[in-house]
Order: sequence, then C-alpha cells, then structure tokens
Amino acid sequence: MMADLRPVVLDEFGLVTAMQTMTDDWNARHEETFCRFRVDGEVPALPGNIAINCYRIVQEALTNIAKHARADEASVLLVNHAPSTDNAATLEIRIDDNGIGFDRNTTARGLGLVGIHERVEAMNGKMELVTAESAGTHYTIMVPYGAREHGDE
Amino acid sequence: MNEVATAIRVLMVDDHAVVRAGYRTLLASAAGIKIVAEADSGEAGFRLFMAHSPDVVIMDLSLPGISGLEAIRRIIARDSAAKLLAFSMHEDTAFVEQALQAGARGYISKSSAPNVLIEAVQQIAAGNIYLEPEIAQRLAFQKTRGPSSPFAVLSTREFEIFCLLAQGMNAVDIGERLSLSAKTVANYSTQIKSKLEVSSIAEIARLAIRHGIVSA
Repeated sequence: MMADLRPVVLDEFGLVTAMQTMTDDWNARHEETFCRFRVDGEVPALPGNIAINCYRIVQEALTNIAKHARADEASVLLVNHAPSTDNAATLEIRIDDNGIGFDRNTTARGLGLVGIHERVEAMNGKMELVTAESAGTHYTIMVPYGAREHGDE
Repeated sequence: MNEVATAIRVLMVDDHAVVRAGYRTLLASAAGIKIVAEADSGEAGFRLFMAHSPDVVIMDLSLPGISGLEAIRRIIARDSAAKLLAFSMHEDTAFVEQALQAGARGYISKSSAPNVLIEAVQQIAAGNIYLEPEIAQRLAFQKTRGPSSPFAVLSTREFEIFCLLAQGMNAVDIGERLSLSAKTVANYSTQIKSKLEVSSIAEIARLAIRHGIVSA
C-alpha cells in the first residue's frame, strides 16, 4: 500500500534525504540489523523517474535483507560519477549485507529481486549481484543519467 | 477578515502549560483559527493528530520523551500531507534545516513577535511554506557562504542522537527515549562520529557547544 505512494520527501528534499529517512525508519524497525548509509560526493537532483526507481530499488533490497539475510550489518552507499567521453554521468548504488547469502542456482529468485532487475533495466542501468551461501549479498548498480561529456544522444 | 470561512483547526504540542495557555489566548484573538487539541509530549501529539486530523500542527521541538523532530517524522510517515509548523527556542539554523528535512512546512522561534505565529499558521494552512524572516535570511546567508553547518550531513535521526549525546546521555537512555535498542543507538553513535570526523563524545559535546546547539 505504502509502496505505491511517491514519498513527498523525495520531491521536496531529493534522493539523499529520502534514503536517509528510509534507512532511519528501517533501523528503527529492525533492531537485529544496522544499516549504514553513506554518500560519496554530491548527488545532484535526478530526473523524477530515476530518483523514484533508485529509491524503490534500495527499499526492495532492504526488504530482502530484513526477510532473508539474517545479517547484523548492512550498508547502502551512493557514489556519483561525473560524465566522461565514454560514460554518461552515473549514479552507483551499492547495497551490501553480511548475512547468509544464497545459492543462485538453487534459490528461486524472489519477487523483490525481479522488481529490482526490472527497475535497473528500465533505466538502462547495469546490475551486478554477488552472493553465495554465508557470503552475504552484494549489489552494485550503475544508473546512467544525463548525457556524456560530448553528448551525441 | 470578516468573511465567514471554515476555521483553521490547530493542534498545539508543547510541554509547558503556561506556554500553551499564552498561545491559546493569542491564537483565539485571530479570526479563523481554532485550537482543537493540545498535547504535552510528542507521543500524545501523534495520538491527537491521528484522532483529530488538524489542519495545522504547531510542534515544539524540545519535548520530553520523543523529541519534536521525531514526532514530526512519525506524523509525516503516517500522513505525508500533514502541515507542521516547528516552533522552538533554538534559533540555530541546524535545527531549522533538520526540522524542514523531517517534514515541517515552517519554522519560527519562540522569540518571534506574536503576529508572526498567526501569520505562520495562516500561511501553512494555505499550503505555503513559512520561515520567520530573520531565520530565512540567515539560512540563505549560510547557503551562499558554502557548505552550511557540518550537521547537514546527518539525518534527522542522527542529529537528534547527536544532540542527546552532546547533553551527556548514554546509549541506553537515548534508546529508551527514542524507542530504539541501545545497540542501534551505539551503531548510530559510531556513524555520527565518522560523519563528523570526531572520535569521542567529548568532541561531540565541544562541537555542539561551538555551534550553539547545547549551552556550555
């Protein structure tokens, strides 16, 4: 129900504050796991659909951690990459936990993971998921936004 | 002013009965404002918000139990369209930024002129944002001078814990006050120190004093 509402904080204060608020709320509800939140560099205002997709991706990942990971530590890191001649300006989202992980060959993908994939693809982003039993779960998601340095788009 | 309009229904949250009485009289003198409920703590404020759905909430930031910031957060989490006016004795812009970040639509200090409170309630009820002119000016100055307070990197929750740590509270007490486990508070404490690049509670206290967040 809540998931369909676009959080006001996202529009008024941007992605960083919205994610801060989200992780604060998550930490208040999940005593067994503490999620850190860091930002490396300044994250500029992102186009609306990119901001909401990034927000939902982190929300889904945190839900998965709470449901399945049995982690005591988690972390969300945002890194902004300036545009170059090869790449558009890109937001890197890293989500890590030190939980039990899962075997991708034997564990069916949950809905949460499918949702994350769909959102990454919708933004022409890339996602790398590294996990194995007892090795935690580590997402690295690259979301391009804006043009390349000599934008020919 | 004589037009008959629906009165703005106000919930007032302040732990001092005398303060509430003063503002009740003040607001009653303004046409079109009606106080429908009063609370003396953030918890009670949240409950009364749910019960009365007021048009505007006037929220003191320094409350016993959960702080005004946390109460703002909880109300906004329940109703993102809630219209909250933060009302505080703190004039430090760090508090202003934090209150706005938590979701308040306005901020005025307790030293402001009486008509400012009335003006603020009316503006916020009308869907606008209201900052006391002096505060708005200081905020604008800070922004143009470069990165504002070092506390801008902290989330609302972190800033709240920072203030309590600076006052000398320990993780257990802070946890009880904010309904968090002591372990969560300890984790936040580590994160706050790392973000502010300090290594001890003593340095946190010094930083807080230097920025006028707690008095020496």
